[in-house]
Order: sequence, then C-alpha cells, then structure tokens
Amino acid sequence: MGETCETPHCPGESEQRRSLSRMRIGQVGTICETCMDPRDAAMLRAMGLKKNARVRLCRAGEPCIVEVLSVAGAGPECGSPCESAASACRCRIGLARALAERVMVSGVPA
Amino acid sequence: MNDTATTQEPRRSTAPGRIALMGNPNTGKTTVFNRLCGLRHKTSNFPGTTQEARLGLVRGMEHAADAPTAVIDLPGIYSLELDQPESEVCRRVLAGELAPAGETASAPDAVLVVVDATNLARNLLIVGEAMRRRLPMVVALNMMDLARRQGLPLNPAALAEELGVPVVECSAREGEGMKELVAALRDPRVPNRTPPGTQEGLETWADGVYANVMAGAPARAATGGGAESVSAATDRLDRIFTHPVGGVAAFAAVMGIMFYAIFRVAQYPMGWIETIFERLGGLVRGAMPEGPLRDLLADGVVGAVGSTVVFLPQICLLFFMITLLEDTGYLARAAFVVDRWLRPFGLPGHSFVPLLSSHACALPGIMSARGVPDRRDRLATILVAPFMSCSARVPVYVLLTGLLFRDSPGMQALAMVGCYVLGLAAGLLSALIARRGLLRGSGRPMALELPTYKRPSLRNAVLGTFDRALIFLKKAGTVILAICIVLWWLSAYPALKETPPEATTLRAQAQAAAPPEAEELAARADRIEARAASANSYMGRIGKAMAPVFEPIGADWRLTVGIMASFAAREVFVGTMAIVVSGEETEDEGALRERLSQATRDDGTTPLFARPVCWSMLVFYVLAMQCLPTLAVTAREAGGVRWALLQLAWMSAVAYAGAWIAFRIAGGF
Repeated sequence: MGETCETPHCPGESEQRRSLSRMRIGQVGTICETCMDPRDAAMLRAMGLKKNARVRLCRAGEPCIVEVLSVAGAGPECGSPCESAASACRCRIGLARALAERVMVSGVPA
Repeated sequence: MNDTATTQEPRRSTAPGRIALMGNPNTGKTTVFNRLCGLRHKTSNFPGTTQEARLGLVRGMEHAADAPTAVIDLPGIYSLELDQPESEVCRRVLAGELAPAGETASAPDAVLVVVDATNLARNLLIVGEAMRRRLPMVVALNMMDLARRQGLPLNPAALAEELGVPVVECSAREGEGMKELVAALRDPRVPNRTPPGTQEGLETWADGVYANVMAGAPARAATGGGAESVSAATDRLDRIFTHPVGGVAAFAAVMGIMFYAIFRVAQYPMGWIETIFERLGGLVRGAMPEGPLRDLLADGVVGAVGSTVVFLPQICLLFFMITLLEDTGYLARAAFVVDRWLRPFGLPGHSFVPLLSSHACALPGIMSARGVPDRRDRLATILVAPFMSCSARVPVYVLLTGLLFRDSPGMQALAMVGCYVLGLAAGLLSALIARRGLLRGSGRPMALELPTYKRPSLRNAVLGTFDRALIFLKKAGTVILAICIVLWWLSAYPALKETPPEATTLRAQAQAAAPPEAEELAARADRIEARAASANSYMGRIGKAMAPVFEPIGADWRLTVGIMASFAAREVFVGTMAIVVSGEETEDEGALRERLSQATRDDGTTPLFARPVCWSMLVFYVLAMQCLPTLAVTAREAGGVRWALLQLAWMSAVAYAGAWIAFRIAGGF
C-alpha cells in the first residue's frame, strides 16, 4: 500500500514547519500534515492526531511522546491559548520515531 | 444545535435484551462491564476471529421474566471505520452479523458507549459513529471523578441535549453512578439526529458538539489547575519509564518481581495442587477394585488433569500482575522500551509480555498475546512463544546437562543458560522468517495511547484473573483431558500377559531371601516387569516402529519411546526414560542419572546416553513443541487448528534439524 499525504500541499512551508521528531520538549505546534501509510494515518487521526490538532512534545526520540492539547480548533479551549487548562481534549500518545518523522507540525518557534 | 438530520423515534417499552458495550481503549469500558455484570459472564471468541468476546448478564435488569439483559463487551476501538479486525468485529456485531460463539447473531437492542470524560472531544467521534447506526443508545460519561479533580467543566445534561440520547455521568472505578446507568439502560433512546456520514463531516460535528457542551461552562473551574500538575508528573514518569537506560532498569525490576512471584510464590499453591491430586488418585485407587477402570480414573483422568491444573497458580499470578500493571498505565510505556529490541525480528513491543510469560509456561504466554493489537504480529507471537524455555523443560535440562557435565556444576549452569538463549534465538529467528513469509506485511510502527498513571483496581485484576483461570480450566477439563487419556492408554496397554521369566525367578529368590536382600530382589523384579510392560505397550511398539525416524539424531527405540510419550508434555521424558531404562520412576535425581549414564543400547556395549546423544536430545527438547496443551491453546487463540499444526510442524522440523546438527558436531561427524 502506497503512502499518501493527508494534506498534499500543506501551506506555510517555512522554518516553523517541521516534523514531530524535530520538535523540542515542551514545544507546542499544530499538526498540518501526515505522510504515511493510509492505515496508520487513519489510526492516528482516530486517536486524535489529526490536522489542526494542537500537540505538545513531552518526550523526543524513541518513542516520541506527545500530548494532544486540543482537537480541530473547535470550542473555547481547543486551539486557543487556554488549551493547557481545563479542556477535555487531552490524551497522550506514544509514537515510534518512524511515525513521528512523518507527522508535520507548524507554528513551532525556531 | 448542529447541522444534523433530525428524526423522531418511538421510545422503547421494555428493557433491551442484548446491549453492545463499546468505546475507545482506556475509557474504563472493562470496569463498567465488571460493575454491570460482576462474575455473571462468560468469555469466548467471536467465531472465525481471534477476538475475545465477553458476554455478561446485567445484575438486577431483566427484559422479560427470568431473562436478564445480556451485555456484549466489544473490543476497544478508536473508530468503527478503521481497517482493523477489532473495528470489523464491532461493525458486524452492530449490524447483527456476528455474535459471541454459541449466541445467535442479531442486531443488539441497544448500544452503551463508554466515554472518557477527560478526553471527551476525541471520544465524541465514536459516539457519532454509533449514532449513525440508528440503534437505541446510552452514553456513559465515565471517569467523572478524574474530570472533577482536573477541574473540567463538563455538563452531562447539555451533552444529552446535543446528542439526543441519555448521558449518565459515572465513575465505574469508584462504583459511582452505576445505578443511574442501569436505570438509563432500561430506557435507551434512538438518537433523534444522525451525524454526517463523511469523516470530515463527523469531525466537524464532534467539534461542534464539544464546543456547545463547553460553551456554557466557565473557562477554568474553581478546582482547576489539576490537569497541568497531572501533565507535569506524567512527563517526569514517562521520561523515566521510557529512558534508554532508566526505562530498561525499571522494566528489569518490574519483570524480576513478576517472575519471582511466578517461579517462587507459585511453588506453594502448585505443591498443594500436586498433593491434592496425588491424594485424589490414592483415594480412587483405594476405593475401586483393581482393573482398567481404576487405572483409567486414577492415572488417566486424575493424573492428566492434575498435571495440567498444576500450572493454574502460575497462570493466575501472571494475569493478576499483568492486569494490575496494565491498570497503572505502566505496561504501555514498557511496550515502547521493548519495541526497540523486538522490532528487528518483526515483532512489536506488545509481544514482550507473551514471550516473557512463556518462560514460565507457554499457555498463559499465548493467552496473553491477545494484547497484541495487529493480527499478523499476534499470530507471529503465538507461533514462536513455545520456543521460550518453559518451566516444564527444566527437569529435562537438569537431567541432560547433568549427564553431560557430571562433575561440573558450573558447566551445567552454563549449558542451562545456553538452552534459554537457544530457545529465545530460535523464537526470534522463526518470527523473522514468519514475518517475511507466511505473515508477510510491513511492520506497523508503534502508535499507542499512553493512559494516565493511576492506582490499579484490585477488583478488575481479580475478575480478570478469574476469567483467565476459567478459560484455562475449561481447556484442561476438555481437550487436554481427552488427549492425555489417549496417550495414557497408549502407554499403559496392552497389559503384559505373562510376567518375564527373569522377574519370576527373582521373585522366587526374594521369597527365600532375608528381608533387606528380599526387598532388593523384589524391586529388581518389579523394574524388569515395568520395563517389559513399557516395551510391550502400544507406545513401546510405536517407539520401535518409529525408531528409524529418530535414529539420525541418535535415538534408539527406548529414546524414541521417551520422545513419543513426552509428546503430550515434555517433562514426561524424564519419568518415561526412568521406566524404560530402569523399570521404575524415582524421585532421586542422582540415582536416576547414575542408572541412565550406565544404561546401554540393545547391543549391551554402546552407552544409551553417549555425549552426542545427550547434546542431540538437549537441543531437541529446547526446540521441540512436545506440549499438547500448548497446541490446544494455540488452536483456540490463533483461530484455527491449522495454526497449531503449522506450529507443531515448524518446531518439530527445527528441533529435528537442530538435534541432527548437534549430534553430528558432538560426534565429530
């Protein structure tokens, strides 16, 4: 099965767009693209790692651990600065490095 | 209100007869099931799948006179639409195409979706998918205690309004809200709206519902701040438990404690079980007249069941501790630690617990492979798990390493370690071959939700262990018992028609001799008779007929009998060789080793256990299947007898080839 990009043309190609595996611990970003086997992409999407979800890197390397802070930007908490407080969007996901390298994140400070 | 199709459905007049219980993993679904049903449940499989099916009866809830409402516990899934066996099972159960083994397939009368209140946004997706099925529904908003501690401003009434189905807040771990949940289940509702059919539409719908539910709540609850401190503590623990060095050390410590319990603590109840069955066998012998029926009951039935049930404490302890560990949230982290080591062999980190458990006994090891999510990974794990050196192999290793290195305990220990390493290497290489051949497919990189660390539930652990124990006992009392009886019969019959003349002569001499000498002579006569009976039995005859097959690995007809008789259980090899060679079983290891080392082949000069033969047999027993209960469990857990036959064929071929190579190398070609 070939690989597909959930978002083939992710806007905002810049220094601030990088793979999850290259984020630093504590950094927060927004998922903009996943380039992987469609089954894996569907699985991650169902787990909450989908486009526009806000994530915080908890552990880098193998495994890469991220905390999903919000889902696709809906609601007063999700996608807003207060997301780290009282939002019922939180879950923590561990990813093999091979997957983390294929999840692109934007909005990450250099 | 969201942009969804709205319809009006009539309300039910009676409680539902069958409820499907579904939800994301780590939402406390099993805890809800246990609270609803307690011990009133049975575990089976969904026919044609490897998915476990639990069917329980709800306490205090009947849909007709004396007809309790049943709950089907579906596998935890993230989405009904994923291309995964678990999702397919859920889809088919909801469509009325599949039911647990023994049950009639029909659409459930209601669906109970368990939702994690601390992660409502994501959980709403599966709620929406369930709503699309247009079945009467109830949503259990579980883990509300945790949500309150984190200061989450959830409003169940608003959620019920948004979904158009009853929403019950509960904390199954604490037992809160369960009465209300049962009451709501008596009157489930068909949702009066249908979420959009596309994934994008569903996600937008779920986001909208979440936004509306949270809109009326304060941005930060008065008791808030909990989520941040939980995150910080979890970060710290995660860094320790997944650290390349610290994680391995923690893992080694946890596994060390677990194995200490399995090997040491379980010894006591295992001893008690052995004693009980010995006494039971004695009672049967004492109560019944001598004859085939007495032998069948005392040796065939009681002996066979006892030899299998003796592993029950190890199985219970293992599952008790695994359930506790899983409940704490640690096991998901450990899976990542081990994933690094197993991935090159095509196995995921999830396979570690089954492989490790198999070092105690392959039965619980294979049963615990249910925790491996991917089907191919799970099958590969089940197929190679019996290569791990289980405790039943130890008596054989002790005997053969003792024969190889009689005066060198250090070398014996080294050879024992070598046996464990050889078994592990063979298992990993076999997994690699399986994943590149029969179970070919790209290894799925691991993605796993890491649940919050929490205090484990003893209730869950006890109920889970009880479940596993019942499955094991059922197997021991049916398939395993039947197979053991057949093998016992082959070893015991036909009985000798005439006592060997040599034994008769010795008994005559014993009658004339003084007590110490008389006892020795009588014992020798007994040994000669037992040896002759063994040679005369069907198993003995089969051994002689099959001897040419095992001759290339150095086995004569007596070793062939040992190999054949131990087909049911490898530890039987020691007792069989004692009978075939010396005519009696003995508890004294040293005496047995002495007799075997002096035993010769039929030519009277060639040692039966020459060094090349010992090496050959040692390698054979490290690698061979030689355990019928394992085959029975493999057939059940893998979803077909063909997998058990494949396992038997592969392990036997590897064992034979390995033994041949060892025989040739040790014999100097």
